[in-house]
Amino acid sequence: MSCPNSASCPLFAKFTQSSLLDFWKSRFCDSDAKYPTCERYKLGQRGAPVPVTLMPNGSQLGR
Amino acid sequence: MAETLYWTWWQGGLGLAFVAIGYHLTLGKTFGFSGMWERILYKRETENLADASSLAEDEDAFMAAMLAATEAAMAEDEVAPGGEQLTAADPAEPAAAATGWWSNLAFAIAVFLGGLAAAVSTDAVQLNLLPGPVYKGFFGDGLAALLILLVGGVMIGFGTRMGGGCTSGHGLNGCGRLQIACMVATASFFGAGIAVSWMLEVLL
Repeated sequence: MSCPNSASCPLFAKFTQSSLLDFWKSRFCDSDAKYPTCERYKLGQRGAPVPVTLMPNGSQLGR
Repeated sequence: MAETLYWTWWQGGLGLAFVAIGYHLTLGKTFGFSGMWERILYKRETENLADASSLAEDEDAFMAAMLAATEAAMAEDEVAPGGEQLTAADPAEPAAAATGWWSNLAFAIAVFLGGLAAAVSTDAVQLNLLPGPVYKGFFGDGLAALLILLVGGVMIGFGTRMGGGCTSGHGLNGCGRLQIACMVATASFFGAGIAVSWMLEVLL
């Protein structure tokens, strides 16, 4: 089972656009064991707004 | 006790429409007060959203930043595949515009000041710990009445977060945009409110 937020996650759509970015899918989104460790998923679970620049490993784009 | 003067229903409606449409035209977002509070309370995340919004507007810069972050993450994991071609992404949907933290706080303060101005203009300024005589008639005016008010406030906050919006977001804007989920939400919380009011009338 993959991440239940895949369909609505704006980054997931981008991850499919490049073979390099596919790293994130296999590392987080498509892994039943790993998607709960995604920082985007965790922030969303807390009910907080999730910035589009937050990567699954917690790094922020543009910082 | 002085009678409280309110605007007529149509004046109130026009005022709310002015705020909701004006908010959308100036900020490109739909207005919702609970969402605004959320953005005030989550200051850091709101600032991140504003930063993210500006970065996401530039598709090339955004994709370049994502590729750089990916390479860094791969290096950390030591699983970087060799010979991968970095491909530019097709333009994707722009991220929703995010309003800054201060603009949300300014709006919240303006709501208070607007209410105060309306009260002052009708000589109705009065500091009350408890709502009006109807509330006191139900729950008295002691500590229990204050605690019930506190519990009610917490429940409203919880329900608002759980429902993803409040009367302004779901009721005013959502219904105005003919969103089915918002109509259901509005019918639910107003229906529940009416039912509980009737129940209290019977029980108390």
